[in-house]
Amino acid sequence: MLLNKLLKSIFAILFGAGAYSLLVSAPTASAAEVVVAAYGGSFQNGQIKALFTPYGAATGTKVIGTTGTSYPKVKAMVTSGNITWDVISAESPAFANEAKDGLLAPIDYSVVKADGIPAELRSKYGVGYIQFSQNMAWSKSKFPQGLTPAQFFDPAVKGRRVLPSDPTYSLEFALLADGVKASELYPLDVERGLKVIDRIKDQVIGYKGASDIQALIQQGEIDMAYVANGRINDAIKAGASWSYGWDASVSDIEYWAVLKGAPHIADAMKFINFAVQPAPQAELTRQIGYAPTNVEALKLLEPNVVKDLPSYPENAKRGAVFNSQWWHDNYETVKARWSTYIMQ
Amino acid sequence: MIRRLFIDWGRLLLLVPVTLLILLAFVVPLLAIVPEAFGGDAVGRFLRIFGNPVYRAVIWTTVRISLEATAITLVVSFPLAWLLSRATGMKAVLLGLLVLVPFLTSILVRTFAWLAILGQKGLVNATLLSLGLISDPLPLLFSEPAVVWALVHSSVPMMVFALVTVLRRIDGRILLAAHTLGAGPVRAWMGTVIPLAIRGIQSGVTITFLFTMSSFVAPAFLGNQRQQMLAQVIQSELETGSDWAFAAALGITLALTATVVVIALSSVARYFSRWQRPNRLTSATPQWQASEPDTALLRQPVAQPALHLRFHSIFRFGAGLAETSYISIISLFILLPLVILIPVSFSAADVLIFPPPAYSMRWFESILTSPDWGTAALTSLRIGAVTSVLSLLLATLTVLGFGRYFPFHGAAESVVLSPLTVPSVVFALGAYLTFAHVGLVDSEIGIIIAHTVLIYPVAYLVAYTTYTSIDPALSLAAASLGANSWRRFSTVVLPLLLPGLAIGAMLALLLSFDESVASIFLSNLSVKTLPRKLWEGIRFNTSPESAAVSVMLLGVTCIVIIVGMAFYYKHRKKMTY
Repeated sequence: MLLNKLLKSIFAILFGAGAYSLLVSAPTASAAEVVVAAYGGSFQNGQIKALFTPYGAATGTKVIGTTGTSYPKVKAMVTSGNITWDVISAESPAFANEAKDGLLAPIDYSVVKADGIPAELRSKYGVGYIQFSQNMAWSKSKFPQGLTPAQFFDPAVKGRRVLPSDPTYSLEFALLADGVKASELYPLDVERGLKVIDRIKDQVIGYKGASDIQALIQQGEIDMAYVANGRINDAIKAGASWSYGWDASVSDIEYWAVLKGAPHIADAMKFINFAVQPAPQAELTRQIGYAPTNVEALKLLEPNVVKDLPSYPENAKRGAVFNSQWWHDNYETVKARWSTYIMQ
Repeated sequence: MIRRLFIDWGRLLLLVPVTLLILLAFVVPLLAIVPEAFGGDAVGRFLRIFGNPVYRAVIWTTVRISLEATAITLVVSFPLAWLLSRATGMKAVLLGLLVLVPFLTSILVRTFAWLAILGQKGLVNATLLSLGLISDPLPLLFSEPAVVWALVHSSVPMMVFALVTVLRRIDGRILLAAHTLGAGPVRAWMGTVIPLAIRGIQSGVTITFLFTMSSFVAPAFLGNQRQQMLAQVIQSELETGSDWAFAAALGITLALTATVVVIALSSVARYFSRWQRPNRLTSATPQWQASEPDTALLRQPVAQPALHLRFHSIFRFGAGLAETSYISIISLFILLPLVILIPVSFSAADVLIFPPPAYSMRWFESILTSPDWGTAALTSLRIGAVTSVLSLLLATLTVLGFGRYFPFHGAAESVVLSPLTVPSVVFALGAYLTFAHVGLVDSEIGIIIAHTVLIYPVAYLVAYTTYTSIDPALSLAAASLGANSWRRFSTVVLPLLLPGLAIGAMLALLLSFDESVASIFLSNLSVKTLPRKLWEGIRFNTSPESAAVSVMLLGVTCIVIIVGMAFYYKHRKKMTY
């Protein structure tokens, strides 16, 4: 009987809690807000500290950060007409495809003022705000002597490898490691690149996104990887006994863009304007090691930070520059080939 | 004849809600994908799948891994389900918790737990290395066994749920009877328990197989690219690719493959269940020759009992030992990934790593001080509760609507179960495209609808399994005593159905809690469910925060489950009076 009463009261409480929680599900509405979609992980944590929080504090605008920016997701959102994001961060191939498909709103350059950013990065549909690079990285305990790109693709050098999930950067890395000069990299010889990867394919344990690769590095699951420089920097900061090099690195631009039909276009422009100013740009770089595109921001940075950036001349000359125009034209065919290839 | 027709029409009315749900919330979203798959160069697209050895290999891998996982799950779960169905009191509660508890942990967290167990610096390799059994860590992760292992682990609770509802109704004395009639243990089991449990086996195998067919989290995290599964290819095609038409075509391929295999499995089950249908029994072939009666025993001296007894006690001891060791091993298998989470949640490190380099309370502090997690938990609770009630209502109406004899029952049932045969990724994409037109994306109602579509078939399977095990004579008896159909339902069918429905409701609630695919696609900013929040946590931060959340949830939900089980047993006791 006691049990009976106890059960009854517990059920009453549960139902009460359920009913109450149904009632209090009030939607939140605020005056000025802007929704920014990026990648999550260490990169987004840096963006929150350097951009979202200071901008919110300065203007009273509520900056809502979310994740999952990618060409398919943006395409689904804009095509369906249910647009909840305002600003997206986009890698150059995604940005190029989004612009090609008419998914973006033109940047209002009467609001966005950033003369320190090179004119070619201030394009109609987006502002290039950082330069990142993909670098070869290795475990110091496994390779205390260091590693060369040629060794990465040498089957005799045993180790667990990870490559990026997309053909972008992976193919460039394979070709550069195989001795192709940076200046002769494009147009990419896709088949040759795949043949180079073939040599070590049975030692590749996965083709992963940047956050996943950083996690695998920190868990000690892999011995060598090709990964964004900011992520490997962050992993080392977090205690991973790893090292990375600039040989066969590929640098690329990350863009801010605004979705066509976004709910807060005016606020989005204001946010982008804030994010590309020298001081916030420099702060973002201090948080995660990607190079600011605004030359004024570079002047604000400490020399030891600048030395680790992809834009640092000593670093830049050892790698190649990503050709987004070539990928804009060839992404779909190469991606199809790549998807088949990595499954074989 | 007229009376029969009338009843049929009444029953069809009961099927209206489920028909509306399937049409509006399932068929319409999928129809948004079909033109995508068959539009334009459809022939080229399907040739690219079936003409390409790579994709044929993917299809084969998917079926193979799913069958392996399903078969292993059945074998591993059956003894557990049997023990659970026989257990009483504390033992039953503990065994029940053993099945339910893994269910409460998000599939994403459990997958990560396997990384901590099977990884290069994981529990297994660390143990083997310290014992000096190996000199280099074994490559356990990113292999097919790792995927099958994780899939089995995720499927055991579902399989046990499906089996227990049926096994519970089997009178254990039939084994004794079979033994008395001279059947050996194998024959006794194969001849009595298995055929009687075939409905549970069938629904368990169906649920497990379709779950494994559509899973992508385990193969994505634990497998490697060379043994990709279809759902994984679809998911990555949607996430990183731009070829929606191709993804849609792959989705249709997956749905067709799954249907074919399920039909094949059901016909195997039907073969085994022929004992249950006396009308279908072929006339027994008369035995021309009775075997010679064994008279040897008569001539033997009577000095046997002592030896006989000792042998018997050894046998009993052996059986007891087997049961104990089985329970220990299966408990270890089921609970290890959850237990691992506890030290991980107290980790001072930034990433999910085992063993943690140092311990701290930092993750619990960060959860309790962040309002986001609380909001997400409430959101999931609301969605789960509404989904559970809706699924239950629909399942009950559907079961009663079908009744015992329904024309084209097989076909009708496959329509009802069709949401299970479509990979959740494909449904989620279709739902996203359709719901967007009516403003249901990023709303709780949208997720509730999607969850109800995905989850009510499971509630239906459990309810139907229970319903068919109810003796129809009871209802007929009530009718002959003058009870009308409502009275028959409320006093005979419903009380007998209630335990099954309670299990179905709990299952629906937990599945909705655990569901991540539709949540991830259909939620965004204003609505964040717990799995979505966990997904973001794992995908983008790999912090032990997610493990800490799971550990906290574990404590809370264990209480809910104990209450639920107490209710169930109380109810059962009442019925036996």
